[in-house]
Amino acid sequence: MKPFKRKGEQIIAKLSEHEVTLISSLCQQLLGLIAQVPGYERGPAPAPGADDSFALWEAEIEAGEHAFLPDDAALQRLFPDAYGNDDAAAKEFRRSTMPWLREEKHDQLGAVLADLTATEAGRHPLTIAADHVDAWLKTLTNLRLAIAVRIGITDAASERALRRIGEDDPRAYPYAVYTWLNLTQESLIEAVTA
Amino acid sequence: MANPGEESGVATGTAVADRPDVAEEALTPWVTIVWDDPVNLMSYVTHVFSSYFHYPRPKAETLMLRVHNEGRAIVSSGSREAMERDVTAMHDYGLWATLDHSDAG
Repeated sequence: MKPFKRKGEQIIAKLSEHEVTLISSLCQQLLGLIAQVPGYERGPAPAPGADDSFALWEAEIEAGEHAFLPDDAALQRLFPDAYGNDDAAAKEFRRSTMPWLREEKHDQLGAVLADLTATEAGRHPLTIAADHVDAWLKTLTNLRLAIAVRIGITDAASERALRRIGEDDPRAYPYAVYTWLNLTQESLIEAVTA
Repeated sequence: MANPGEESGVATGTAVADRPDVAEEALTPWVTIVWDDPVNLMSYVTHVFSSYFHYPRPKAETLMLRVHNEGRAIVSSGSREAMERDVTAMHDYGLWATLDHSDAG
């Protein structure tokens, strides 16, 4: 990837077809993950065929009363507790904010996917309008947070240990993607703050 | 933009009885704490502090370094509602943040 460059109000980068496919695929996976989180009125993503109003109502009750967050380490990191030592307050806070947070992350992913689609598989430069910059920064962060959980990055030492793993280690590819996303985000921040 | 912090105001939920009254709460403001994590880039954390809180760049950098070196930093203080807004915003940016009483250390 060529580094991001500012051009007036826009941020531009040239992505290869492979890079467009990669980020799009990661975004789709993240959409699938956050779909497990209760949203506004929809509750937890209803099971296929459960689109009748009773199921939706039931899901809403579930979301509201239990502030349900699936037992998934990546989701726990993307939707962290706001009160470190007060479970009741953390639950109440989650109940009132999680649907909003989910909607935000969902919309940010949508903005990123739309910009990627506009490149027509990398034939045109990626063009990020001023009002999509935050969506890109936040989405790259969310992707990196989710991958970091999956490959066991919990502190600086576990991150350093990954630099020494062999090519046949199942974490090798996601770690390579992770480091590529680091460079991509760093480049974007440089262009944004330049 | 939606303002989720307001939804958790004192008029809702079951936690009302547990909360101090308004006068007492004013004397014990709340703080937003950002915690260190191995994923977020230093440049990004600085960017978040300067763009969301509108802190001047040197202050944003000082706070970022405090998070990095000391494991956490208080990044804002105020009413419980304001801190819930700030914490939600930090979670939206992907930062690990909590709120607490300012006297909780």
